[in-house]
Amino acid sequence: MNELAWTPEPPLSKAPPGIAPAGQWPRLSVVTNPSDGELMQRYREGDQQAFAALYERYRGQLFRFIRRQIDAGSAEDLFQEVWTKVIQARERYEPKAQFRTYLYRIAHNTLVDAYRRRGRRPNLVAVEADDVAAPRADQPDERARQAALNQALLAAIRALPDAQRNAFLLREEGGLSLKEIAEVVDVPAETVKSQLRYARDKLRLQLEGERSEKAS
Amino acid sequence: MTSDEELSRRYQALQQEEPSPQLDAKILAAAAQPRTRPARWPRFVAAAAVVVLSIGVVTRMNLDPDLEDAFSSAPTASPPAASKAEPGAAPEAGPPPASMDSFGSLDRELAEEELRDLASANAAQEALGESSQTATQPAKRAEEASPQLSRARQSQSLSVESPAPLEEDVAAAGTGANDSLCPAEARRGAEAWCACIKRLREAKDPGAEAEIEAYRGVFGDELTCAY
Repeated sequence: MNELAWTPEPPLSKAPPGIAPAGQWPRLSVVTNPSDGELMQRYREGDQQAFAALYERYRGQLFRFIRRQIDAGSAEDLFQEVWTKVIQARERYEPKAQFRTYLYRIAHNTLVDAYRRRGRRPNLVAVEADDVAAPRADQPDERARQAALNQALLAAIRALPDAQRNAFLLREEGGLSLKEIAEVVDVPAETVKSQLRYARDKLRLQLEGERSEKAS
Repeated sequence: MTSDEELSRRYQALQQEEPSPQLDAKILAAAAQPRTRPARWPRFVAAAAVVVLSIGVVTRMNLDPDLEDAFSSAPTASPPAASKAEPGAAPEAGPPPASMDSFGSLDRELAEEELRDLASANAAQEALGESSQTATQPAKRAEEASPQLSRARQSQSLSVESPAPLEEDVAAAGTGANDSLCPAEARRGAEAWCACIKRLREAKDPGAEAEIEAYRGVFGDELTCAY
């Protein structure tokens, strides 16, 4: 074997976007795909584009997380309130934990404050008109059935107790791990696991019931 | 039965709500605002005000002995209001005479009380005919206290910087200061003291009155003295 032959590096299982496969190009730094912490750090130093990139990453999921826990009228206000808090706290932000944990903790606390201001949990059971596209008469049956199931799922999510719904949405919408969810809501990880289990069981039960009803 | 993965897929298939463009614009505009640090000057002003007030209070307490009087338990013969009622009285003097009066009268009262106690002890010992050595102790203390009594009477004309406690005056008197007109030996006995007072009266000495008061303070009106 020629000792001077160049041996390519083993390929990564998942190459980050924008990075050439290993072995052909030198490894690029993570500047092209900065982490949330780096973006926040840059924003602290005055880079507005860094905030815009960060906002783009989380706007959709955060909006849905809030929207599926409160009525439409309040969701936009709370969404803006959460980002305002992030903007105002940028001087004090330190990348000790994941940015998304930090962001969802603010969102969770903002929701809890909103519930307290109202005095009781808002009635979310009734799915509002713009939440799920209602099945149209001209839609094929399957699509109509799926739309009905989606509507039922959304209603079931909103009917969950606060803690279970919160855990489910943080998991499904935010993609947080059990440990991260525990940090956000400030409960032990085992409690989060239980809440998630109960939430999924209830939702599955609702969906099965809906399916059986439609089938009959 | 729906599995967890199917539930997740079903959830992801729900309508993907997004914030409105207007909401996006508001948030991005807020993020573009320059950093506004809260003004720090109110904190500095507040801290400086606290320091100035503290210094002022402490200085005021040090300068005004009436304030110290108000906090002490000692009674005062003349109230501080008397000094305030006569602002023109001796403005050139340091401490106001009204407050010195209060200290002088305090000294006088305490001295007279002590003298009475000592005199009664002395009289009892004389009656029993004890040796002069044991009698000199209370006599010595009477001698030490009496200069303080005469000093207290003359305190109005003196300017004393700060009121000294009774014990210090007695100790100072014990070191040798003897301002009385009658000698110590004369003051040991009623007759000798009376004779001294008589001599002072005959000589028309102004100190005779002070000696008479001191005599009365020790012996009261029980022992008459033909002065």
